[in-house]
Amino acid sequence: MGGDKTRIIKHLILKDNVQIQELMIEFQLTKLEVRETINNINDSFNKDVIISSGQAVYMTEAAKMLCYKKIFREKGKLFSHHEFETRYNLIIIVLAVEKKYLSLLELAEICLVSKNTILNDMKLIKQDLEQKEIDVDYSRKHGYVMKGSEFAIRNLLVTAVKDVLRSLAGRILLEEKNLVDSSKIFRLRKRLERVESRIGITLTDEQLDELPYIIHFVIKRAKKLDTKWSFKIEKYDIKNTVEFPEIQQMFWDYDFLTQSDLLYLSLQVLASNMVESALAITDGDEVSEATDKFIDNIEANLAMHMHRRNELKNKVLLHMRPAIYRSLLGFQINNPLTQEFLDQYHEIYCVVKKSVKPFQDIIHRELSTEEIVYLCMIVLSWIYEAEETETIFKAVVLCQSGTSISKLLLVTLQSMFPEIDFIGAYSVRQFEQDGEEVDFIFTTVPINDKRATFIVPPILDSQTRIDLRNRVQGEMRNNSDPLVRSLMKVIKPYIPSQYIDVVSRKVCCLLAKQNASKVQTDNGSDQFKFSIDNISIIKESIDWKELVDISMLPLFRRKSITQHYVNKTKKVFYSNYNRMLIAENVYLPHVAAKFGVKKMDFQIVVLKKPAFTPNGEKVKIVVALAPSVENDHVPTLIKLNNLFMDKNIMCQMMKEENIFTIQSILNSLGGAEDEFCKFVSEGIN
Amino acid sequence: MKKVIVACGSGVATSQTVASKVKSILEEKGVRASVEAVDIKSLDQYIKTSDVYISITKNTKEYDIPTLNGIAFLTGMGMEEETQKLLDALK
Repeated sequence: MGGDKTRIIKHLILKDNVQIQELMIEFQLTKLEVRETINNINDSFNKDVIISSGQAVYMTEAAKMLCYKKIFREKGKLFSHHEFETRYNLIIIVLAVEKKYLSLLELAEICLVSKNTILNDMKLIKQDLEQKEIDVDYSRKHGYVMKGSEFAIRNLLVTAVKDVLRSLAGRILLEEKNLVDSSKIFRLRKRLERVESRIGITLTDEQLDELPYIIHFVIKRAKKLDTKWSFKIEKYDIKNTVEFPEIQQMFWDYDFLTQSDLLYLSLQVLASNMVESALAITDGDEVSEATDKFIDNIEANLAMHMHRRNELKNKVLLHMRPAIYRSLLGFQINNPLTQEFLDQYHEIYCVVKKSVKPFQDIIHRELSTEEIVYLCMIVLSWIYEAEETETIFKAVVLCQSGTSISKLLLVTLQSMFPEIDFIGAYSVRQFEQDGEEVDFIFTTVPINDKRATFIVPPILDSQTRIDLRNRVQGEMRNNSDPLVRSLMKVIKPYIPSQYIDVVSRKVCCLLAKQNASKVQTDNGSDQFKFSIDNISIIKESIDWKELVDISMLPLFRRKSITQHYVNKTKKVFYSNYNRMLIAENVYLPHVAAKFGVKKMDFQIVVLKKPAFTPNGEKVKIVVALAPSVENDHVPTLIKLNNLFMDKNIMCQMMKEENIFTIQSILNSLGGAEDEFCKFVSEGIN
Repeated sequence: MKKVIVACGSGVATSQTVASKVKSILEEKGVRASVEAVDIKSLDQYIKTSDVYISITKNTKEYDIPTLNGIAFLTGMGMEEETQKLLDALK
């Protein structure tokens, strides 16, 4: 595979949210060349490993791994250096699974840094681990080793593995360091899927991806452990639960695992978030009873009746069962949305916090703020659902977890797009299985789907909200099918069956017409506002060869373009002028923005005495253009084309001496636009 | 979905304008097709995967797919005929 292709793949593997423009700048390529290279890459893999969505390009995790295995694994390394956070996690993992002294040199080779850097890293790691009651022992002869409570070291190992997996290209990092064996990971995943079906649970996609790695590393650690260890689970008799023997069964061939190892591994599974569980509601179950009391408290504190109470109970149970196991393990769940949620929905947080006592009575301690915020998201999404109204478009929110994390995103999107019916937040796996019909997909993980798909971060900042709103509204304008479906559903009973198809087609055409005129109106806000500086009236005759210099000079003086842009335009325009026009006798000298546009700009040059092309065509007006990379100049060009198509306006422009009148014509919405609209809608009427 | 390409000298202005107008016409007529603006240098490459080519200037080269006059969409003269040809080609 060629240099550009390999470098683009590497860039996309190591980075998320890549824009085409970023690739153009990074690799000195034109937009077309970037698109061509991406197409070539996809062709060489016989599948779309790189997906384009608007101006963004991305790769799914599976595609990243596929490309890594094909290009980098045998021929070279993907990573050239690691930041401290990655080094920290790598050091923890190797010290935990090797369970022997590792020298400075060995650690330095793994982390791709000098021995001095490792020395400094180890000082920081030692300080940090002291707080977790784990000691890092150092000997000049042998190097470093971790010592302390086995339970604490395993929890530290699990946290480090999770951190690596959640970092960019984390799975590939573990492969490149030879820390995992992909066949073993695959086997563990298959076993987990069997456990899921045997005990009737569905783990979130994120957990099903992470758990095989976590189990793999815990087993590696257990294999090296030569001393007995145990840990105490307060109150809970996990060994007598329905789940424990089933989970234990998945490790049948790891005969070196002790009862404590099996209990620890089972807890890892039980503490994982789930999207479904057949075991969720059991009469007389302690957690089930606590959930009933929790919902009673919520209803009393909010003074409202929660609709579909049983479904809500199921949702809360799905979250609280693993939460209780997490609490028993002493795991602190990480909820990146906590602060934003507290800022935005403090009142609901206070109500939920007041209502969680039944759960705290089970675990004999307070629930963490993070866990309460997760519960808040579930409660809040339920309240929003109660307020749902009739909508036309259907959408779904997808994320790796499919649980509480996506709930806030769902709530945010619902408030941003009240015109869309969000059917819920799901994991990708769950959504694919259910096959729900939707018009739009909002997802935090890249997926390959033919429907309009918007990749969004879990937290939407103000700029992202503006961009997303524009993109979604554009998509809604272009897609009138859902509106036609809704309308037809309502009016179908009143139409004779033989006319249903005809009426449906008529409605479709009518809506398309409405949408098109809306686009025209909306374009008004995207129009370039012409000032008198953007207009030149030239009364003298000018020579064809001076045309570009004269028309481009104001743009150059306004620092909108460089001299290189002028030179390039001259070269291209004089050999292609018959392709560079915007209306009859109106020429459009320009080249692509990459040749030296600093900002989008226009200069309208009215030639009172027409110039002539070498073909003898009249040049009455010149539109000197400095285009934008994002094609923001196109709405203005369409407007100019509509104006110049109108013979009366063209005539008025040519006769007019007053620059302010010309300015007023250019900034008006008039021209042949109405005729154009009339023309295109003729077929409908 | 059928594909229409429009080519001009740079692919950023004239062809974009024509492409935008053609898109509006097709939307109004309820015809689903993608319309793309390209620069003249890339034409040969795009034409292989396109169903209709809208040219801004008279062609010296013959192509295997229907070729329409893009100037009609810029000037309005002959736009009806070219639109009908476009609709026929996309049937």
